[in-house]
Amino acid sequence: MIKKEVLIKNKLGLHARAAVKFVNLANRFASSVKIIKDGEEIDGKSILGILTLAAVQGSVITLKILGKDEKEAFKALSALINDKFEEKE
Amino acid sequence: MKLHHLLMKDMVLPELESKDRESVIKELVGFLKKKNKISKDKELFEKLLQREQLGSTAIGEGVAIPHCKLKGLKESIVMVAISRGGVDFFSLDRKPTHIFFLVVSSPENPSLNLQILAAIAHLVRKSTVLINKILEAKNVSTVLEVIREEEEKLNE
Repeated sequence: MIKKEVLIKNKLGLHARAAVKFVNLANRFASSVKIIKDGEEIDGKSILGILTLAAVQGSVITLKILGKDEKEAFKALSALINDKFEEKE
Repeated sequence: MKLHHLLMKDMVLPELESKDRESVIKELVGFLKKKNKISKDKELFEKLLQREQLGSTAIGEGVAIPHCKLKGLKESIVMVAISRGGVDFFSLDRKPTHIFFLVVSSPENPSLNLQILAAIAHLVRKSTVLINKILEAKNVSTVLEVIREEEEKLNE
């Protein structure tokens, strides 16, 4: 299992379009993907779940990934977040 | 943040008539214009449509959250519209969309926008009866009542 913190850097935070990108990417992996923020754990493959976090710019979320491709999944998902979901700011 | 605190009594459209995406957005914007909530109706229509074209906000479960930002807005607009027949809003689960939560917010406050979306997502995700109860509601005050009741249940 991989459990690591990631900082949300993009200006809009984990908004709807970013959540869709995250879920689409997460679904490419067999591993389970969970996101934890402020003690709340949600399914990282659920758009509704991600939206409930209201993760604004500057917030820290924890990715908890479990499965045979967990390393690749963490690498790809944390890259998407660090890359600001391909947004300009 | 609670949806029922943000949703004003006059911001429920109980019978959407439109049957496709563009006309639904037009009808939502027309409703806001008629209520004097916005003046730039053309701009709002285009922004909402553009947002849908980037990726549907119909997140499944029969629910869509069309949203965008609009400059010069004094406070965020939250509105609910209901389509009994359902609309093809290009939802992610391919099912028709019945309930539209429209959110228009000021670009100056992206965090408020996220909190409103979170309140809606929280309610839709946790309440199993919300959609059916809203569809069964006979009038606006029942719709508001259902939303308030279901939201209060979340805290129990």
